[in-house]
Amino acid sequence: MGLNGHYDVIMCAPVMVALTPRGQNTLNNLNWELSTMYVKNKSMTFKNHNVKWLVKIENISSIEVLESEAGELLKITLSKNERSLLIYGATTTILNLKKLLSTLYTEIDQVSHGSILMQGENEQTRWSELR
Amino acid sequence: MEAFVQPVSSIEPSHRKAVSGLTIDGVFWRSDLLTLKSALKKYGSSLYLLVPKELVKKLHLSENQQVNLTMVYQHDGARVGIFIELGIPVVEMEVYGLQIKIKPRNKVEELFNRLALRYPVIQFMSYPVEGDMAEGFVEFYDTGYLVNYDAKAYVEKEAKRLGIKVVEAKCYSNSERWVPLNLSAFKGRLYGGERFGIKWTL
Repeated sequence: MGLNGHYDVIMCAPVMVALTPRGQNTLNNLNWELSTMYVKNKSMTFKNHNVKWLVKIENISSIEVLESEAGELLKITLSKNERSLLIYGATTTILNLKKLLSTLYTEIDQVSHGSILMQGENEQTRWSELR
Repeated sequence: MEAFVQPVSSIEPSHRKAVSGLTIDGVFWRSDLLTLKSALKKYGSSLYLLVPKELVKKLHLSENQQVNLTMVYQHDGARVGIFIELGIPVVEMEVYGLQIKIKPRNKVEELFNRLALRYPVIQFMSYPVEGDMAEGFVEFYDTGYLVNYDAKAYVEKEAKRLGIKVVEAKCYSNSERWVPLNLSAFKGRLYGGERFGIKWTL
């Protein structure tokens, strides 16, 4: 996976974003933040009143598209500390971001992932809480 | 009655305490819901479950909202609960857009910035195309009028000031639907939040 070198693209959009703890492979129990994403040149910035994350494109080791009940999510894994950034938003936003990132990367993995269900808990689990 | 809405999150203390905040995301209820008042009333042959106002507000529940109710019965018959399936919260909003193609491409960002200062911009994107041109779009929240047509006229006016040639400018509109994965983070944080609502879909 490598860079193609088309950086003359800008994008700005509101997205939901979550940072996975180091070593966590599941998508459960994430702290989703609403933030403004800004993509320009060689970096992506996610900013709101709580957080500001700067992701340099060169520090991305992989990009995956995750499918969930809520729609598609993008999972960006950082090469330095193996943490991942999950990005979710309106369908057109995710499509455009995917398109943009595909101009920067030669390969985006399409994977299925079902663990981020909005009502994803097993109903029996909930019912067993009754006592 | 209160027992069947216990907090799922493991970080919550087991003892009761005052509600300092109710954080609701797509999967977990991060609050001690036991401290929220709820009531079940009998009216004729019907039972009314009164959901506490904190939940109504936080979950954006609405009058006549459809839910699925299931009676949940414990084996020993000690308690019966009502399982309320709300469905999935969906944000629905009308989006007004302006598709543009301009020359030279290095002026597109300045043009977007000027639009963002004047109009309720949701998002924009541009990418280079042949002939030193930039193609892209800018989308606005619903402002109660055709904001994209107004923005189109503004773009044509500002383009002259910035030395930009507008090769193409087309207005469009569409509706966006997406799931707020964290309802608590979502509320009030998007510009023009009063113009779109959350609908629960079963």
